[in-house]
Amino acid sequence: MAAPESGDGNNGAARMVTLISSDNTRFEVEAAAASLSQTLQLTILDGGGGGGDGIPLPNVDSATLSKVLEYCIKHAPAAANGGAPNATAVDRAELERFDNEFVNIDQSVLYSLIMAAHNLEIEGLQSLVAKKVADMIKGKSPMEIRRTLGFPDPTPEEQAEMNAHMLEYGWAYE
Amino acid sequence: MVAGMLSRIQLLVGIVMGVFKSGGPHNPSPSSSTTDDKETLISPRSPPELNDDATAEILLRLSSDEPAYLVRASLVCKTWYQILSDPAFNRRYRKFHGAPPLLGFFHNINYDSRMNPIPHFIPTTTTAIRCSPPVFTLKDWWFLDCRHDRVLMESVGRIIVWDLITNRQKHLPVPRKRYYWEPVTAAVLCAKDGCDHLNCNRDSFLVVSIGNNYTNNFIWARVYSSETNVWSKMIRTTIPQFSFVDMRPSLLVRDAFYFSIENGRQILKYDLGGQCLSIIDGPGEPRGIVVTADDGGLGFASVEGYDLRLWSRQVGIGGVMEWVQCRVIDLGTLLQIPAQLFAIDVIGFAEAARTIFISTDVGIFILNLNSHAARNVGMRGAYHAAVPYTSYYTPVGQLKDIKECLSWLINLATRIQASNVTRPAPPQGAAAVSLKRTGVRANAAKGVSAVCEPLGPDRPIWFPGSTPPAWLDGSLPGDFGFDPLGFGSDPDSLRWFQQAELMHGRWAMLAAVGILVPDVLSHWGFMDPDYSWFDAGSREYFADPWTLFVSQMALMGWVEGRRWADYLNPGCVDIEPKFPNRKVPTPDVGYPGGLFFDWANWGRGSPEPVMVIRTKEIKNGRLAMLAFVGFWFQAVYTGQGPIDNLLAHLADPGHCNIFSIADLQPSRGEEDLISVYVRGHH
Repeated sequence: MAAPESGDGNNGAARMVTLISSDNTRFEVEAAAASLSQTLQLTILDGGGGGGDGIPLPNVDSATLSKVLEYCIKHAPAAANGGAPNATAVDRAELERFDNEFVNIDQSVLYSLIMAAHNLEIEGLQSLVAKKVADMIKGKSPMEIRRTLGFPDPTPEEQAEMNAHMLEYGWAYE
Repeated sequence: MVAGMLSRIQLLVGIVMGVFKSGGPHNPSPSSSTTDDKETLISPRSPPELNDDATAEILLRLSSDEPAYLVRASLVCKTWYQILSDPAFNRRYRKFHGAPPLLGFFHNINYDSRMNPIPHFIPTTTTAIRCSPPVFTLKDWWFLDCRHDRVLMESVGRIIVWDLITNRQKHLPVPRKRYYWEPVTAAVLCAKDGCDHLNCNRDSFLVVSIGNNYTNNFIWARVYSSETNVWSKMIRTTIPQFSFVDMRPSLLVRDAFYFSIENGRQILKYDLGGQCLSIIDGPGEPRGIVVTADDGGLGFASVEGYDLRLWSRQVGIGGVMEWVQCRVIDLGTLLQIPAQLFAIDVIGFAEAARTIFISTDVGIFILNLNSHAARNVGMRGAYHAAVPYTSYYTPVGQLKDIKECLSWLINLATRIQASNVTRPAPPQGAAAVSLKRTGVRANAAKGVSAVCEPLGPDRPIWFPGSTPPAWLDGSLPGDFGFDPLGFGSDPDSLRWFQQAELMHGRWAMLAAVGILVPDVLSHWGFMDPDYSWFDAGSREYFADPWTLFVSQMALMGWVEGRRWADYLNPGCVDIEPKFPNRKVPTPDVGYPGGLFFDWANWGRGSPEPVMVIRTKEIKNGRLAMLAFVGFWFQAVYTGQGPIDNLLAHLADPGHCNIFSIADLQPSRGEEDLISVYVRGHH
């Protein structure tokens, strides 16, 4: 139990990294939390992001980044344990509850989150948000899906194509 | 006044456009006029463009229980369609979701209690996938088994393996002639080694056929492999007298098939590895079926009163295999069925989904053995067996056909819109119904085989054991490898000879009928008794011979000219009406088919393989050519018709036969003619 902690200490248990969002807001988080992102992990291992020079994230705006970091901070301890046996059922239930509330947010934020999770390669977050969106579009007609996801209205050609498909897949709408 | 008219027309156009824009009958609000709450919610900031990978992540997590979800998603836009039809995505999707979901089940009841036909596929999902069985009438066909995306059907020894998703079917050779009263069963499985059965190779499968011989008290088994296209040697085992194999689906557990005998009194085991049959005693319950036990081994489910009893076959004391009762599930409370029921039976089991089918007086229930989730899925009826269908229904390869009729539909939609401008818009329900009908018709031409399947290397040869010449490769109907003089060694002349034989054969078949029928009629006194087919050409008809000759030359010349043109450039004289939703038949010289030559689609759409039908035709044609030559020589030598000759031969077989030619005087002074023909044929 003590060994990994001291190991962490050597790398800097309280080591902080700075992340800079696309609108130049600086976020300071623990390295362990940021390391949930596969993309950031390499940079952090190389010693980047410390001190004054932050890691610029030109694809992620501040609102999204704060949300991403909220997730990372919550999930960092569990990830550090690597799903070790000392993660109790209570912890897991707590995390699950957090996840459920976490995705209960405005849709536009949800989409930004998907892209951010994808770009930063945070597997858990990506899976969580994708599941949420999949549940949102499940059982809906193509037009409803388009509207739910905020796609522009289809062009007449696209519309005709959709109508044609619907003829073939009449059963899918009954 | 004029302005009022204009505004009314505009209103109508708006309504009509709304009908077409609103995306189907279940989405009645015209998208152009109403503003959605969600849209306003999103509007301040447009959502970021989802890239393909992120979209794939979302689609990957769409539930697999409802086949419609993926289909609907594939219609959202081109990008989504491309993602969903990517085979790599499909593999990922299947891996992600594991065992394929239960989509429904087949049964073998044709009519309900009021004699209305009922569909043979009952979906267990809320949206039913479309399913059109591969045979015209299902009355004699039984659904026997279903595994790894394939459905197996049987009719008096004939077996079809049918892929519901691609609608491809394979007719197997008959394993063994059987009688109506002999029960048979069969099982199908994917034959690929190490396949996880999430996305099986669609061409490689095995079929195990089991039959019951009452009179000699044995059960036989043969195995068919799609790779060799032959049945293995028959193996058999004896059973007690009057035992019968249940015509219920099999159970596959660790390389062995299990079939129940007499409602599970005994169980027949077929070992795929060792290829042997053995018989196991059941747990001694009056009625039940084989299921997978909780530990993955052989299990048994039986019903006693309201109890569903689950058994497992385990190693008992002293290393002997014995039945152990694992669980009892109270169906009364679980299914919430009334207490006065008397007919509860277990009729089927889905291996992948671990779901058991229970038929009761109030309907069919499916019960998941893992989760104990139960639900009513069908009407009551005299079901003997439910053949569960589990598969992934992904829209791959399905949308391709539709692409073809796309442009046509766009045109149609535009035209309807244009023509509806001056008329009131039809009620939406009616529009939906008519459009749906078109959709059904568009699908009617599916499953038509356009090209003959070549015969395998083991085809029958005219001289058993000989090697057929290389140019006779089994791709032509009626090819028995007979060409000792090598007439067909040149591909061009082979093609010509094949056509020549076919047309000669067809004419000869007509000629034989045209000779025999008038001959019989004149014998029976319905026609001039002096009538002879041989001088039919010199008789008087409704027009003078010159007119008949000229018109026949003109008409036949036209037809033959077109036939020749088709021979030179196959498909160039095609007169089949073109519908964009129907596949144009593959040009096949000599077999035009289509609306005019095969309107009932017997030649290419019958349950028999095209090759079989064409072989029958050419064999009949060859026989008719011989028959015609025979008639001709008889007429020349005896001056009588075929019936007269036959009667004369039957009256005196010893003297009136082919060897009596020398005794006959050529009649009607036709010696010259005979010498010409004899010389010509030597």
